[in-house]
Amino acid sequence: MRSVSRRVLLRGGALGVAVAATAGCATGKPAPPAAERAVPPDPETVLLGELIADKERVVALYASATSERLTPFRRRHEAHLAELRRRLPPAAATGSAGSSPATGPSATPSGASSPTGDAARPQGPSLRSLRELERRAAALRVRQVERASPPLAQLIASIGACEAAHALALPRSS
Amino acid sequence: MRTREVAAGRRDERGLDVALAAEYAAVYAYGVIAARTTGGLRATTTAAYNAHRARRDRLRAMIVAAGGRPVEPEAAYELPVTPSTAAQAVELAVLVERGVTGAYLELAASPDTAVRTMAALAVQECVTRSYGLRPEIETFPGMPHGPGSAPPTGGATPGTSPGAPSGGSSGATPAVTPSATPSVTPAASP
Repeated sequence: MRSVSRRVLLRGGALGVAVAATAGCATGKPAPPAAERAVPPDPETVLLGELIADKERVVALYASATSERLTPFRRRHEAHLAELRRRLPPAAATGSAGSSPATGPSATPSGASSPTGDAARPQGPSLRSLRELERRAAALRVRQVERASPPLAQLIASIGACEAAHALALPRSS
Repeated sequence: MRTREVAAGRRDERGLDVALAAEYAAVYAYGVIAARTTGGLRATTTAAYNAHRARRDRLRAMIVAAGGRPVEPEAAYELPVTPSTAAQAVELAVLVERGVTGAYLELAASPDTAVRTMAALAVQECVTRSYGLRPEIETFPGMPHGPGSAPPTGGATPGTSPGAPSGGSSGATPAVTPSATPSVTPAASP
């Protein structure tokens, strides 16, 4: 899945505003004040959306794994996801925040595929790719704490620690 | 505005002091543990001792760089157990790591982003070190109200799902304080 940066999104938003303004001119209706049209997204909600979208992909990836030994890993990710969703403001929870574009550690099927193990087990991710995914997720959390509110920063730090332990704990062979 | 900045600075200073005190206690405890273990466990706990010393020095340097005065270590600390077996050594080491994890998680809420990232990294180090000693994984390491625990008594939203850390919506969730009662406490003065 291709990542879409916030800048691209914002640019898209600005384009939408321009189109709306043009349409307003064409129909002769006055455009709403600029302040009403371009409300910047709440950065905390944007970050939560990124985290949630990332966790959803990781949970889906673990769900596609066949080994029962991975179930506890998936459950911990599900608990992270539930807690992140709980922290979304109600308006964002019903909107699109949970499905915002990926900026996470490439938790995509292609990112999860093993360079060597795909032919043998095409239906699920390799342990090696999951380890790499967890390692990259933990590294990303260290950067994400910078732009979170204090309580969310603590949650992200805690989740990152769990992911770092996952990277260490994932079995070396299935 | 100025009042808020001062308050944030004090909170940061306190968090750094708490983490430094936890590191002093960890260095003390690992000194005892490493001296009472052998073989691979001794090597592991010696490495942990060195890692905590490095973190301690880093914290002291950060406090000094910010114009503060680091707290000093206690002369001695009370250990919950003086390890005489490998199992007791591991038990104590895991307790130590949990205590330090809690201290750094508090620091992860610092207004200073450099402090935050340092704290987030330190939390990961503590948790992975603990896993190396005892292969157990918590869903929310360092959070005071982990899986199956009672809801928090202060500043929490009731009705959270089991296993969820405390707090309400993102804007109103209070920052947590260290999860563990310090396992290694300063020894009482004679």
